[in-house]
Parts: sequence; structure tokens; C-alpha cells
Amino acid sequence: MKKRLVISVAQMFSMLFISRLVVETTYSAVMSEGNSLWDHILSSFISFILVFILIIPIYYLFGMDESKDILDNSYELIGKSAHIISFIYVVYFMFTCVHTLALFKIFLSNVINPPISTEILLTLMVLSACYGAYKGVEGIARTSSIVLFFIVGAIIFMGISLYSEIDTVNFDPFLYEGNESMFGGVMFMISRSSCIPALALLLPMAKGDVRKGAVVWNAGVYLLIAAVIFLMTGAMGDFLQTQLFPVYAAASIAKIGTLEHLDALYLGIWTMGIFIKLALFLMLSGECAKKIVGEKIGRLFVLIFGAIVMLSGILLDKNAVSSGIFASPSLLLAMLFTGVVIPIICIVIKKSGMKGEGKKSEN
Amino acid sequence: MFKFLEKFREIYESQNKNGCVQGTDKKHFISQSLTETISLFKQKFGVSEDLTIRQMRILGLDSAIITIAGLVNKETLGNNFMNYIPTITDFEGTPIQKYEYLRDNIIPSCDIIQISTYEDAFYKAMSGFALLALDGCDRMIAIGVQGYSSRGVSEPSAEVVQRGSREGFVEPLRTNMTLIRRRMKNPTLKFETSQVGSISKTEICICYMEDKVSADILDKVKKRLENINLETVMAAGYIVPYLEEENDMSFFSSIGMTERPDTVCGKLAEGRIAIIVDGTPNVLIVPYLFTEYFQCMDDYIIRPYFASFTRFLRYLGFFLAILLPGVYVGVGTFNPELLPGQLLNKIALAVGTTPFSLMFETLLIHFFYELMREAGLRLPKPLGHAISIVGGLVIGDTAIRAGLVGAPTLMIVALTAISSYVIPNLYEPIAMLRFIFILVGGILGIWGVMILFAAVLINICAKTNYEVPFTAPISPFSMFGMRDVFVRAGWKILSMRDSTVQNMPGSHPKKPKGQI
Amino acid sequence: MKTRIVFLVFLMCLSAFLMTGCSGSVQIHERMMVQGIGIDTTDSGYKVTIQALDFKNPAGENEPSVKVMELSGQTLFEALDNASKRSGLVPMYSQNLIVVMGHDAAVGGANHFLDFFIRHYEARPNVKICVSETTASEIMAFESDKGVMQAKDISELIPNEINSDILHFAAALQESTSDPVCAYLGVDGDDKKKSINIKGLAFFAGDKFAGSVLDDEYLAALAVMGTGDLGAYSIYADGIGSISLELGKVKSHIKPNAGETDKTFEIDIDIKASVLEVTPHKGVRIGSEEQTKIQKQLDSEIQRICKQTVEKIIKSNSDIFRFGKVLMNKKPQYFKKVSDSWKETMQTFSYKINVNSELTITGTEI
Repeated sequence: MKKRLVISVAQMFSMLFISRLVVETTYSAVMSEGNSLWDHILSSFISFILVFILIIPIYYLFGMDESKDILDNSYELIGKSAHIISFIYVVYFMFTCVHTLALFKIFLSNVINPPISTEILLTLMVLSACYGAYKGVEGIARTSSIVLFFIVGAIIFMGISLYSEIDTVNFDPFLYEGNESMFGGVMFMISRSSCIPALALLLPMAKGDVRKGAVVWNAGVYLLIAAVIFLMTGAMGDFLQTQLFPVYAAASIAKIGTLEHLDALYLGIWTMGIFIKLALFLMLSGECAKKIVGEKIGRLFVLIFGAIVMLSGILLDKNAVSSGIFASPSLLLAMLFTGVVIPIICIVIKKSGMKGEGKKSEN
Repeated sequence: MFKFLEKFREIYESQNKNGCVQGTDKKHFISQSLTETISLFKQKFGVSEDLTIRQMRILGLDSAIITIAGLVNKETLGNNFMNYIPTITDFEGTPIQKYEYLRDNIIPSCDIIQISTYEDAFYKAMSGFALLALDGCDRMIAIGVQGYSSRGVSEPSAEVVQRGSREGFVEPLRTNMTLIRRRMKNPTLKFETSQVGSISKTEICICYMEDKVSADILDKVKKRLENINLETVMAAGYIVPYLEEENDMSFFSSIGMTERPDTVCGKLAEGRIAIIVDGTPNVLIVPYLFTEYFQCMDDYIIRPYFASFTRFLRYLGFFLAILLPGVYVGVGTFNPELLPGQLLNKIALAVGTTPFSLMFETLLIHFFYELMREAGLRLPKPLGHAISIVGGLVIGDTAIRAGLVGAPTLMIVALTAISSYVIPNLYEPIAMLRFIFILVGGILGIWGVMILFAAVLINICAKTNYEVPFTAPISPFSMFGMRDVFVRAGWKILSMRDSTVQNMPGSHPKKPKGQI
Repeated sequence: MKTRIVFLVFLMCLSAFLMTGCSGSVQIHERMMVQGIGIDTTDSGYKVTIQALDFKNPAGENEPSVKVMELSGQTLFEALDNASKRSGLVPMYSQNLIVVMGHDAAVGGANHFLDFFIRHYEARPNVKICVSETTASEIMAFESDKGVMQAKDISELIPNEINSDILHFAAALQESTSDPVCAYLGVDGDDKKKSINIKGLAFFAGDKFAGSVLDDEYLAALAVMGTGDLGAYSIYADGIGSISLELGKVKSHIKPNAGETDKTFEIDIDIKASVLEVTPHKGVRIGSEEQTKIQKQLDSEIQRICKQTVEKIIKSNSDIFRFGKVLMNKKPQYFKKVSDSWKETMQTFSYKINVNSELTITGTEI
């Protein structure tokens, strides 16, 4: 089968970079159920290594046949029964969308409290994301490169403005209050790594050096997170513990000369990031649906999935973002199942099949 | 004979009903009988008085010179042909031999075309050719003696440059072809003409550099031009939708339009295809990238650092023109906390003195501005100035004094208007998007503006024309491509590598021979 | 089919717009831009004095009117909410510049009202906070010859360097070891010519006001904290006279020693000082000998007042200098043992001050 090269590796990883950043810059001591955000610097280093380990099965499966994604492999191995695998991925991607939307909702209602109803804004967000998903992976990938440019620019700008506010006394000794916070951070970061299952579908679409891209992406994400934690802790100390979205709070105190109120900048860029993530995961849901219902109707499913995500987002309790099914353990299980277990099963079946064929040919 | 004529009429009419002529294979060959030919012409043109048929005897044969009055240069025709050809009598042979003798030895013109069908004969006559028909010959000679009056080459009004050529395209196709050829003295530059418009039969010319253009893109352009089913084509804009991708619902066009021959030549050298439409001074360029809207001829003439500065201004102008009023309304209405205190004071004071909401006020002024712009554009120039005085001074100043609109809002609108003129080719999408952003900002605040901006961004980014991404080389990114995007590198860097459009990152069309 | 889908989506968008309408929006001039909030306690709750800009009834063509409102309620928000009931305008807190705590309110504890400034979606953490020597209303409603002194001007009295803002105040409260500190404002002068001045720093023990440091002690506290420019300071040196110095950038470094016998905090203070005035002018040339003399005198005086100030604050059970946090960072194992009783433990530490000034002589001296 010919490889479907539609986007570059850099574009793919810029989409994934934004998708992870929008979730991982929203965490706080409150959300990760720990006390010390400072220990999350260690969490980010551990997560950096863990993510590499976790993507091995997907990368290995991809290496066996670079033209096939996880669903192609499943259909090849178990035939039409692989519909169930497609369905699992659809559910996972939609689940991720709902989680992202819940984050957006909690940000709107708890931090901003806009006079416009959150439901309308959520609806608009999902509608726009559906449009993005409908436009396809190329459109999302290209948009994400531009958004990434803005995000990195904004973070550098914030970094420069916060640097002068840093008080080194705010840096507590690592693991002072035990390792609970660090592990909480690792759990938080890894469980929300929905990009790992997404990679299973995206890899065959990308052209270029995947390994190099993965290293830059993963290192970039965690270095940036570490840098953000460093800046925030240095500038704001224990005030962070009172904030649900510390990065937003940090942005609101950042100023350079007469330029102040940079929270507007954060607000805009974060909204764009959420848009990219929703569009990407809705698009991936649509790709999975295409495998089940066919190419033509599959595209329409993006709208249906969008409607489901929108309704779930609206009906969801705003505090559900870190509890119940969105608690770290359930998110982790879902991620591990779709991002690690299914690829491993595919590899095992494929390997045994190859051995069987080898024996047959020997006989 | 009448049967033949009736049949011909039927076929001709059915062709007209179906749309284009050029797409059909049925041609009607010229009759050997001169009488039949003349009566067909007379019948087709009917009461139309511009058909001129001068019958005479040439080499002992009944013959006629058919022209359309006003399209031919009578002096050239008279001196070079009418006064001279009938005097030649020293050739004996069949009518066909006489025809060939005339064609090859007698007619003193290099622009002669042999015609064998009536369709071509009509078309050539209406294109300013003189048709020489001989009795007993089933073909005609079309002699290029065009001489219609047209506007002389002048400075293009929409694309003024400080330095550089003052020549702009004019309406006649041939003149425009000449303007390009004069700048590109290279045999690889090709002009291919065809017709569009089943009624107007407008001549168009595809122009490209054979060694630069991608064969895939060229084929696609030709195919799309063939599929144009318009009855009339009066301007280049008529055929633009046919050159875009199907179902392309974007505010931005991926078909460029210019009045400057030097711009066209530059684009041709980058592997693009120019389409010249007869009767219009605007030449189309395909494929056209988003970043090209921000480039202008002056950039390549002035020093790179200043060219880069003006580029920056244009990009800034674009974002200001689209977003500023929307953000202003959104922030002012829903998120005033995002404004610095002093600025907020000024805006709040101004809004407090006006009877309208911020959104309505901004919409109103924008609407008035567009109204004045439209009036200024359509009126004769002297009156246009009057409009700008009435609009700018009288209405603007009085509106503020009367407390109908706030000064900050008026300033925002004025700044937006000036910004939008920095990139005149993008005025249409900018004006429309601006209104939408104001509405969204006034109803949904900064959130709505951001979500809409993301949607617009994806609308631009997802656009691909002729398999070249519209947003290249920004996204997909190419470092080398960026040398002429936000900054304009010096000529030494610009000319370092082949920069054809099919080499843009993310492009899929085949490269021409010899290109990597 | 496609056109229908597009049309449907368009209709959905349109209905979303129409559903929202403009009902949620409050026009910018219909909002009352709160510039300063003064908090006093009364028997029945809070008396809040707010200073706000009113755009609906401007004072001049380009000038909003400044409204001073005294509001009361059982909680801070209840009191603030009365502002909209009274004026018909919706208060906007995002442009708030200063929060003034009345003396009694500060003594009663900041935790009773601070939450509003952290929790409210319009509140920003970089709003300045201070304690009034008397009542907050005296500061917020202060009238000079030019009318009400605007909150902006009051906030500008507090230098940015001393970090007297909600962010640092709340962060110190959140820290288990440190205590908050903020500017201390008061009204000076006789009845005819009164003015608001920054008198010093107010320090807290926990969330409760524990005392203030004024004049030299204020300067000393800033020196120990290592923040800001200290301003003018005069010393007397034998044989030279009275010397006025400008104490510029100050830096401090705290080093804890937590041995069995040696429990000390060593505080190194580096000050840049310039000699600006020597009186009476006797034409004394300040050579290297005189310079050393001035330097020694300055160091010892700063050392004396710093020690006095630190001990005063420590005695009040307040750790505004973040000794506990420094100890935690440098000696975490030791601090873990004493963290629960840090306030008592810090009393047992000795505080050693080392001042090192760098003198610059301005004027004609070489």
C-alpha cells in the first residue's frame, strides 16, 4: 500500500505539541491533587522518559509497515471484527474532546466568568472545530504550525516579563513534602497524553524523520512545561496554590514596560490551542468512523461526533474535569489501552502470523 | 444550398444553447462558391452595418475582401492589399493554385492565417482580420490588419510603484502579449490562445515559461479553462471561479490579478501561469499564494531592509484591518478588564456620550465609511474628492461634535480603513471579515473573535490550489521560502536557488524537465 | 446536499447568535470602574469605602467623575454589592489599583476579606495593598485642596519594589512559614495642609496585623529584605560633620546556620551609598581616610537599626523576612523538625547583620 504522505513530521508534531500544551499548561496543584507545583519539574522529566517508552509499541508497529495505521493493521489482522477497534478509538478520541471541552468550560466559568452563556461559547467552539475537522488533517496541521508560532512567541514574551519577578527563595527543595506531588504530576501528565493514541493514526500520514520529530516534540513539550513551572513558581511563590489556572494568573501579572494585562494574550492563544486540539481529535474520530461506515458517510460523522461532544460538554458538570471518569486513573487506563495495549496486541498477532507464514513456506 | 444553410443554422443555434463553441468538434467547412460564402456572411450579420464586403477580381477569379468596419486599419488594407493585389494578373492555374500563389508570394504580410471553416472565418473577421475569399477555393486567407482604437499603454492606476516601470497592461490582448514578451526575451516563454464565452468568444491567452512551469499545473489550467461555460466574458474576474478549486468556500482567492507586466514576468519566472483576457487590463496569475498579496514590485527595487519594513507594515495592516474593530468592540463590550486603565477611561468616556452601543456605533461608522468609499470610487474624480471632504471632514467631525459617535471608535475605523488600503488586493475579504468580526465581537466578545479567527485561519490554511498550499511557505514551512515573505532578502540570496511555485513545501505537482 | 448542510450550519450559528443577543453585555460606560477599596470593620460587619470612576456622569469633557462611596455589609462582597444598588452601575474590579485595610480590619485578620481579591474573576493579583494608620475610609476619602485624592495617586505612593501587593501578601499567607508585609499609610500635617504619606511597613503575624516599622526601622526592614532604593539617610561623623547620604540599590543575602550550638541567621547587606551633602560646609576634603570613616559609621548605624528592627519583628512572632523559607531551602532536614513550631524556634535564633556599603562621593572631591 502506498504511504499517505499528506503532512510533514514537523506539522504532525506541532499539532500534537499544541494538543498537549493546552492541557498541560492548565494544570495546577489543585488539579493534580498535590501540594507542590515545584515538584512537577521533576514530574516533567520523568514523564518525558515515560512518553518515550509508551510510544515504542506504536512506533514499532509503524516500523513494520509505514503505510498502515493502527486501524489498517487491525483490519488486516482480524478483518471486519476490527470495527470494534475503530469504535474504541472513536470513543477514546471523543472522550478526549469532551475532556478538553470540560477544561474549557471550567476555565470559562471559574476564571473568566463571561457575561455570555458558556453553552453558546462551547457550541461555537465545537462548530468551528467541526469545520476544522471537516477541512482535514492538512488544514489543521498548517493552522497548528501558525498557532504554534504564536504560542511559543507568547511564552517567550511571558518568560522575559516574568524573569525579573523571580525570587529564588520561592524555590523549595525538591520533594520536600515527599514524592506524592511528583507522582501526582507524572500521573497527571501521562494520563492526559492523548497524543500517544493519536500518533497511532497520524504516523502514516507524516513524511519525514519521525524519530527526530518525536524527540524534539517530547523534549519541547516538557522543557516548556518545566520552564513555565520555573517561571511561575519563581515569580508567584505559594500564590500559585490559590489559583486554578496558574499560567493564566502568571500571564495577568506579566508586563513589559507599558504593555500589561497579558492575560488577554494567554486567553486568545489558549482558545486557539483548544480549537486545534478539538479539530484534530474530531478529525481522527471521523477517520475511524470512515473505516466503519465508509469514506462518504464517514465525513458526515464528524458533525455527529461534534454534536455528541458539544452536548456532553454542555451537560457535563463543570467540576467533573478532574473527577469521575476524568480522574487521572481512568484517563490513564483509557490512554494505555488505546495507546499501548492495542498496538502491542497488533504486534503480537502480526508477529505470530508472520512466523506462521514462515513455517508454512518452510513446509 | 438552402438546405445546407438551414442545417448550419440548426447546428449553430444548438451550439449556442449548449454553451461554448470551442468545446464542440463539428466545424463547417468553407464552400468553394464565393456567392454562397458571401450570402452566408450577409445572412449571419443581417442588418448589422459593420460587415464590409468588397468584391473584386483577383488573378481572374471572383473574389472578396471581408472585413468588419472599425476593426481594421483601412490605410494598411488599402495601401498594401486593395491597391496592389488586383493589379497582379500574370499567373495561370486552378483556383487553389492561385490561392497558394497569392498566399505564398504576393500578400505582403507576415500575419496571415489560412482558414478553412466558417467558425474561424467569423471569429477572425471579428478579431480585426481581413478575409480574402476566392471563388472556387474552399479556404480563405485571414490577413492581420487590425487597427481598432484602444487606450495607449499607461501607468496602472491600481498598482502604482515609486520606482520601476510605468507601463501597465491595456485592453487589447496582443498589446499585453507584447508587453510581456518585451521583458522576457526567451523562446521558452509561450503564449497559447483560445476562446471563452459562447457568445462573446473572448480571446484568452495562457502564458508560461516552458522550462519553469509544472506540466501538471498547466494541464489543470487548460482543463479548467476548457470547462468554462459562460456566454460572455467581459473581464478577467469572470473566469476566476472556474480556475479555483471546486467547492472552494474561502474568502481569499488563490488566483492573483495584476495590471503590471513586470509583475507577471516575475511570476512567470517562478513557474506560474498568466492568463490574459482580451478586453481587460487585468492579467490572472495561477497559482497564487497568500503571501504574494503582501508583495509589491517596489519591494524588489528598494533596499531590502526597507522592503522588509514595508512588508512588516503590510502584515500588521492586514491583522489590524481584520481584527482591530472586532477586538475593540469585543473587549469594550464584554472584557473591558483586558484594557489598560487609561485607555479604558478614554473609551468609556467617549462611549458614555454617544447614544449607541459600541457594536452598533462601530458598525454604523464602518457602514458609512464603505458607503463613502463606494461613492468616491464610482464618481468622476473631481466629485470623488468632494465626497472625501464631505465624508471625512463634515460627517466625521460633526458626528463627534454632535455626540453621535465616539472619537476612539472613529479613530479605530479610520486606522482600520488605512490599514486595509495597505494591501489593496485583499480589500474585499478584509471588508467582509471586518464586519463579521465586529458582529461577533459585539455579540460574543473576545472569545467569539478568537474562535472566529481560528476558523478563518483554518479556512486559509486548508486552501490548496493546483496542489500548492495557499499558505506556503509559512505553513508548510520552508526556511528558504521565507526569504521573500516577512523579510525581503537581498537579490544575491533571492536568486540563489530555483524558486518555482511547484517547489514550495507541501506542493505535489510534477516538476518540469531538468528541475529537481 | 452540501449546500443544505452549509445552510443548516449557518442557521445553527445564527440561532446561537440570536439566542445570546446582546443581553449579556453591559456597556462600558454603564460600569463603575472601581479604583480603590478601603476596608474597615464595624460591629455589624464591614464598612467599605470605594473610590470609583463614573463615566455616565463625567466631571468634564475628558474627565470621569470620581465617586467615593461608603458601603456597609456583613461581608466584604455584600458591602461592595451595595455599590451597584446605590448607583445603578455595575462595579468593575479589574482596574482596581489599591486595597487599603483599616487598622482595626488588619488587626482582625486579613483572611476575613482577602479571599474576594483572590477569587473574584475580575480581581488581579498585582493590586497594591496597604494598612492605614487609622481607618481605611480616611485614606480613600481623603480630600486635598484639589479635591478627592485619587486612588491612582495613593497607589503611586507605594513603591513597586517593596512588593506590597495582593500577590505577595497572599503568597506569604499561603506559606506556612512566612508572614505578610505591606505598606503602612497615614495622614500627616495639620488641619490646613494634610497629606497622605507612606509611613513605613505593616507586618503581620499570620493574617493579623502585628505592628509597624517606621522611619529608620522602615529603612532597615527594606535593607534586610534587600528591596528597593532606601532613600536619604543622615549620619554624623566626628571631624566631618553631618553627612546626608542617598542609599541606592540594596541587596541582602540570608545564610542560616542550624548547628547544635550555633543557631544563627547571617544577613549580609550590600548598599550603594552616595554622599550628597556635608553640613556645616567647612570645606573639609573627603579623602580616603574620611571616606573610610563615613563608611564605617554608616555600616555600624545601618547594622544597629537593622538588628533592632529584625529583633522587634521576630519578637512579634512575624517572619516577614522569610527566614523560615530560607532555612527550609538550605537546611530542609533541620527545618522539617522545627517547622511545626517555627514561630517559637525563630525566637531562639540569633540574627547577625553584616553591612557592607559602597560609597560614592559626588561633587568636587577626587
